Amino acid sequence: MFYDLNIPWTSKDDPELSRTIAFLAELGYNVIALNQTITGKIPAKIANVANLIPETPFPEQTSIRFLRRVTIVLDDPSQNYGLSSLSNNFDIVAVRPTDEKLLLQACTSLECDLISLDLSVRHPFHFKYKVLGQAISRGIRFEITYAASINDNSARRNLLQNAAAMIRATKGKGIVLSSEARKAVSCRAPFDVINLATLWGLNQEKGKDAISKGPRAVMLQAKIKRQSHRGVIEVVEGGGIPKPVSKEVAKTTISQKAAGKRKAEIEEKGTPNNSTKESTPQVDGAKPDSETAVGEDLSENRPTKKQRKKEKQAAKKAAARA
Amino acid sequence: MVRVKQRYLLFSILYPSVPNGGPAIPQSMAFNQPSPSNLTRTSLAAIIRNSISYNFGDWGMGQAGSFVVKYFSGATSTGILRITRENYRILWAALTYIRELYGQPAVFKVVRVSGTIRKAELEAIKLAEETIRRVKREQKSMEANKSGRGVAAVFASGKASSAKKPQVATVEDEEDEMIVDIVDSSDDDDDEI
Repeated sequence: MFYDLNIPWTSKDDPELSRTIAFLAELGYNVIALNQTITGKIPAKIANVANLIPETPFPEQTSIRFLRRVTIVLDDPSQNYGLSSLSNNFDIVAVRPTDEKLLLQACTSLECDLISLDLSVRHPFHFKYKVLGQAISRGIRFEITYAASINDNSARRNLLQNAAAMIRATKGKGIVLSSEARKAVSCRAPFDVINLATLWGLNQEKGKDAISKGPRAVMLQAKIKRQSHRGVIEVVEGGGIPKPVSKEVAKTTISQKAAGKRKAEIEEKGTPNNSTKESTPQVDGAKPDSETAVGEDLSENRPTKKQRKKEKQAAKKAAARA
Repeated sequence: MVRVKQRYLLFSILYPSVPNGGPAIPQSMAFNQPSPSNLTRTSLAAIIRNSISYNFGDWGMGQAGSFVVKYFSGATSTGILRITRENYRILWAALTYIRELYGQPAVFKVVRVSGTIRKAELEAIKLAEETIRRVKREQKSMEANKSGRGVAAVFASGKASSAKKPQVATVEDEEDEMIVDIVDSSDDDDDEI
């Protein structure tokens, strides 16, 4: 399974986007995250932005799974970004800090899944393990996007420098490789990307993790954050009160059952209240019916163990003859 | 005596741009279309050398400039390169950074890195067969929707001279070429120092 967590979303009818998606499928990717970038203030009705991407954006690509991702460009340290509200509408929430202070903030406190620095420009600060390590210990990963380096020469130089610095600072942990390709030409096959990563200082194994296991962890972690309580407990099955079944439906099912196997079972056991773990409303509905049936059995001619054995043997013999 | 360890890179060239105005063709046929006819073993080597010297400079040329194009088929856009084991990553990266061939957007995809040329060849045959199977399947589903004989048209435009039996013939063609190539190239593989 290979992941590309950053394909900029334009519109459903854009031929270049659909070609890019088709090309990624050809190259062997399995999961693609469609990214929407928000600069400045987050709009109040974020669901409207999220709903721009339909549930199945490209139904003709059957082999690919699509995710929704949002990237918030952080440029004002004083502004309070309501990131927690985003996670309900998107599968992945990423942030793009623009200076050192915001990077620190993103690493230590912000509620995000991915930190996506723009590595195609020169940054006036160094990446330090002290800062980045905090994010890694919180389970937040760093994204390196390669598409810009394929198209543009100065971007390639900066990316080489920044990616090498970032890999050195993170010690190769918590890196995610993705494309951010606006054109199909700037996409590359997974193993070609891994090879590029080896030139940046990530070894083959870690490079492979950065394009398969790492993004998967991001995806799952975001999902767990969204669905569970504090990322610890998730209610999988509601349990508790069963759904009320309308009486008519219940009666029909029970009458069918009573005619067949269940009634016979009850007759044999002769214990009407010892009902097995059927869902309660059905059993309730069954009571009047079954009690009358069992009531006759209860009157003294309840079979003993010996009698039951005999009956069984007789039944076996009959079966053998047949 | 130590043998020189080599790596064989099997690559395929993908063309992400769909030809405009042509007949509708299956998606993977469009990506795996035949290369321009002026792309040969020698011209391909020149293009790759250019990319190495552009991205890695004189040092890179010294390290990875000694590769050999062992095999290249324009019809299937696949080829095999040979390079010493220590330097194959530089060559690979240079391939990755190529983004066009004769003005046409192109992406090099390294399919397999192998220690022997035989394995690379087997993989090339497998790859071609798989591609043809996929194209056929896609065309079948396309024909179910609407009739279109696009695959033949692509070959006719891509390889102007030799497009007799486009679809089915390619696998056999390639196998033939392969065998010739094995005879050609198996001489200098086990040179010893």
